[in-house]
Amino acid sequence: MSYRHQVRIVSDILLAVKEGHEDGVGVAQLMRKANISYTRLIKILNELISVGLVEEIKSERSRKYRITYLGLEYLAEYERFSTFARNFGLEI
Amino acid sequence: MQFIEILGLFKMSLELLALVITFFAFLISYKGYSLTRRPVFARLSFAFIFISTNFLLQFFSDIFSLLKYGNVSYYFNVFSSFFEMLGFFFIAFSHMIRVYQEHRISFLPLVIINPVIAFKTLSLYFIFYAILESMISYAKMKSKTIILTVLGLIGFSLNILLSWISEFTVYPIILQVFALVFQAFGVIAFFVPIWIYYSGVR
Repeated sequence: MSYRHQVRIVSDILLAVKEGHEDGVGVAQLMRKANISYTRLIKILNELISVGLVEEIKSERSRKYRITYLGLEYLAEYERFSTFARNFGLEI
Repeated sequence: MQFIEILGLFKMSLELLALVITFFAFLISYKGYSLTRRPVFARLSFAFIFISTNFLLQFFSDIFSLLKYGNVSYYFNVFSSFFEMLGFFFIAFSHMIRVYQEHRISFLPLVIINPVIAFKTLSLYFIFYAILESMISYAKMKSKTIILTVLGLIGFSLNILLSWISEFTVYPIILQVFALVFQAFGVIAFFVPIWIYYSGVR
């Protein structure tokens, strides 16, 4: 079994956030989809917010996350590099 | 113009084309490493810059051969073979690391005879290993482009093998023609992943 490195975890989180479209995604859903613990997820989400890849939507009842244009660009670039490596039979 | 000279010019054009393609592959790999810091891109960067250097030195070797500077051409050929071997080593090494991470065992037997032949032999080992591992990757990932990369690697390996055999034959011209055809095939096949990257096709 191979472990997931940080870049892969970030892309998994971004993919999960992306699925929420404009409404955004809650923490529980993100934990399930990205297969990550609460503490680690919150830490990475805060980093992603600080660099502008994800934005937080705060309401009275909940806290949701939405992907930014920069986040979408990051994901597209990650996919391009991933495809490039995969075409040589390798994985990022 | 004699047939041998036309062949020489075709070989040199092919080397320039291969130089451009592998240099672009290096640029993509290096950009990948700068952005992701993943070691697989560092290894691919080394692989492609060495393979690219090999084509550049091979080009100079052919120019000196054309100008009848046999000795200089020979040394360029030795260095070119060395860089070719290093390049394919890094591709094979990337596969070795992947295999190691999946907890399987791999080994590489080594044979050394003389500089050019030793480097060519090592290149062949590394390419065969990369072909084998790429085929295993295809079985796992089912990406059709891997098949093309495998065919490209087979093209390069046949080119090296035929160039290697032509060192021992009295009339190597036919083997050299076939070697060039296989090299052209390898160059075209290696162009596809670069084209996919720049065009954004998946």
